Amino acid sequence: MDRTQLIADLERICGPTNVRSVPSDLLVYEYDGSVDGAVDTERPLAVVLPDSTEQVSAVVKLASHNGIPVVARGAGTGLSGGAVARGGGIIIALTRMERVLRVDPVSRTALVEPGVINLELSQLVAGQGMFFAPDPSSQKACTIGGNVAENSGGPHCLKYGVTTNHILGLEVVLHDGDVVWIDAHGPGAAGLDLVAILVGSEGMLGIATKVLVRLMPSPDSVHVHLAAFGSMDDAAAAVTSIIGAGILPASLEMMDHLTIEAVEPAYHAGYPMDAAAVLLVEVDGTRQEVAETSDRIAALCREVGATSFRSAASPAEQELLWKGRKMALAAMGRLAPNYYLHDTVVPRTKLTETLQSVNDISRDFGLPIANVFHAGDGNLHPLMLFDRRRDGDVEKVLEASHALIHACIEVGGALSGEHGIGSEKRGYMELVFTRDDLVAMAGVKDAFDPRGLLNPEKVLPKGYVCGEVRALHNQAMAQKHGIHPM
Amino acid sequence: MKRVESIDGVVPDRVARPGSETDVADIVGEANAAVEWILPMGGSTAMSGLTPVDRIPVAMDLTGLSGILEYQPADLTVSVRAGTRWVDLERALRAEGQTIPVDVPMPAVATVGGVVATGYAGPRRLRDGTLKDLMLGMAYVRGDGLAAKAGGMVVKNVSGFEIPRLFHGSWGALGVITSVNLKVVPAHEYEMSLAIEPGDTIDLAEQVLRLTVARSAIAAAVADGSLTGESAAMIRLSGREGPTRELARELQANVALPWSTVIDSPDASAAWWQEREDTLAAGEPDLVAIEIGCAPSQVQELLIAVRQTLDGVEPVSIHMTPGVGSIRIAFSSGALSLASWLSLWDQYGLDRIGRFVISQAPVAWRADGSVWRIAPGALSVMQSLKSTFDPKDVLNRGRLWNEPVVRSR
Repeated sequence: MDRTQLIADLERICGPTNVRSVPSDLLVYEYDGSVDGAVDTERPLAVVLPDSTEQVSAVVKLASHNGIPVVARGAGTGLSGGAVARGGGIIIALTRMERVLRVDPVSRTALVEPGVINLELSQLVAGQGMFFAPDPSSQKACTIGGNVAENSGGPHCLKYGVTTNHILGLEVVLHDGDVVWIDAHGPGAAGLDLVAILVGSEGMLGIATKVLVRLMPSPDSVHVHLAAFGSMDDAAAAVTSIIGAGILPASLEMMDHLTIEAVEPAYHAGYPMDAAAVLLVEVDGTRQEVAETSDRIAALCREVGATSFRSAASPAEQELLWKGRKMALAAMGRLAPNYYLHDTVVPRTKLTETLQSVNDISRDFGLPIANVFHAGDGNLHPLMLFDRRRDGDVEKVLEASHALIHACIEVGGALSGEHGIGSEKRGYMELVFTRDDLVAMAGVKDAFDPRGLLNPEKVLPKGYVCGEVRALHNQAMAQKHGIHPM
Repeated sequence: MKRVESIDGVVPDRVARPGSETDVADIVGEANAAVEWILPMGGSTAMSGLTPVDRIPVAMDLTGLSGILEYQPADLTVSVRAGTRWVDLERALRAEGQTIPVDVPMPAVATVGGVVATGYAGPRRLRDGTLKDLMLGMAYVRGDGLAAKAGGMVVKNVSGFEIPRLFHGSWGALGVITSVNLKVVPAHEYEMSLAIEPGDTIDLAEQVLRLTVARSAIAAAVADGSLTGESAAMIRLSGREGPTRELARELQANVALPWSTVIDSPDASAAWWQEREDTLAAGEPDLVAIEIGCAPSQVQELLIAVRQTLDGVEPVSIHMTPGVGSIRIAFSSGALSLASWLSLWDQYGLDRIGRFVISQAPVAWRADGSVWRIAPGALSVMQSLKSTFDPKDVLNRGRLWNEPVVRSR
């Protein structure tokens, strides 16, 4: 199809002011939040900003008819290249679909459009004693639709679970533009739980245009504590003993010395500058439960040698302690012009060992690595600090990343805890999954999007897309049954 | 080893008893090649809600595939083979002070794979959610014989599509689960239950709903009785002993409800809830039980509508968890046929507020129509997935929502 004609058709569907097609307008859509160099950027054919399901459906129908790929995009804060239009194609930016359609305080649900900003939903329902639990660090900017696509996490997921635990239904535009409503399993639900497979599918199976989210009741009481330690090992030991004692805090976050060096001068959050590591622990629940649990946590931290333990005395102080954690990435600019953020998860019992590996990699590659992460979940976020203008730095970071990912996988870890695979880590999928595992995953893609037009070149490694899958599958089955491939 | 006698009155032509994942793949692969079909089964505790069939070529008894593969208490994760009895898993977890906080009817018989595949969730879903949210990974064999795994053994993981959670409640439509990796949680130190005197069913449902909305620390709250008459409620509290007792005191002091007996012993309290589960699952041969679901805020509206819909059908017993919008009604199979139920449901427009599944019914009753009610759009996506995972309809043929489709490309 002629590009001019395509633009004209898109303008007819979404309105002329809601289509971007000149290079200067498209530039920003070539990127997401990923580090340049780890993820290839690419200019889309066009960007549309629809404001209704009907418009999204019409755009997808048009693209499908012409065999053009489409990529759904929220705020573009993703960290694995998921919203970059690999192979060109049309980006459907859902940021104008930002209405909260219904809040049901008795059922504790809200029906929202995908462009609603994560934090704004929690702020909107706070007055009714509720909040949306997934809280990625980008929550001031990221959208619910993006959270659904990535199955986002955040500090409070330790207690409340990741995004998929909080999605009850979706309106989805399928690969051919058809619109379906799907329910997550709940009382009286029959058939497959399609929400389970849609959430976290990185825009490869369908585009969510409405999201029914579960809201959590605001706890009666919240305490935030800061424990400082003389070594990372002591901090990790505190994590182990808190979890081992059967305590499940709302969040349990660790920051190392390098992170404190960046954060404290920037925000004056009150982290001791001489600490090797700090733990930020939030406890919530009923008043008595929180008081009791807080005392136990303080005792456990002291037992393993905490050098100090302090509790926020007011909501303002709680917020300040949290500010240091939530804004940690932004503060890294004080240490280096660039960083590469990782997102591996290891079994909790392998935390100390893995942190040692991270240390070794830092030393071997001569690369400073800051650690700021969800310790309670074993979800590491090593930040490699570098300067892309310096010759060889990018290559060094990529090599070190390779070593880091291998080290985490070796102890039974996962490639990503909450940032997704996208294009960034698809090359690593074969490290964790066998050919047959990937054939089965590709089968899911095939069932939803047989022509592979929804967010191509993501998640599944090269060789596992579309027609190739059937060939691979035939080969696998033939080998199994000792017959020659067809 | 338990003998498989009959399912819905049909004796299988053959019973396969795999002892390993490879055996499962071989059995499924052979059936796929022969275009024969298989009925996978665990403890057979939830077999009487599906579409009945005339013949069962192969029943695959998965109880031989049992045992814990890996359990690291400090990681709060466990990997267990699908045929493991739920009680055995729970016993191992309890020995380390941990648990999986879901309701499982007949846990001495029910298997882990069966609990996942049936997707059952009882009253505890109110506070603690469902097993779906605790699924971290899985090994399985697709309907075409492909053996694969998905997910992993860590508590957070977004590497590829969430196939494990898709299998939760899939009733064996897509593949045979051979092992699952689950997240476990610390077991509660204490629990107790508070009863509320019987009252009008609809009023009580509303009161219980308000109570659980106001006090999110309540673990579970049910109201059981009769649709047109009275019901009695039971409230379950669990956690640390001090806060649990404090919550009980606070409820009785501040909430104006006709509080009656208190079961103030963890064992006795747990036993009351387990017995309720077991009784509901066991049912009676002639009983039809239907689980209706709605948004919790619409429980009252739905109850009134169901009362109107079933006017003249007596008696109808009811078991509700208002806080999650779950209403289970049960009546004698002679009182109302499946076809009548379906036509009444449509006539009263109950699709507006609710949805339902047949939990259990006599074979003849189920043969009277389709027990599956799924919106056409969603159904076509499900069939598409079925076509990929089980193209020759080797698993549970004729018992589930529909056969696979050949898709146009």
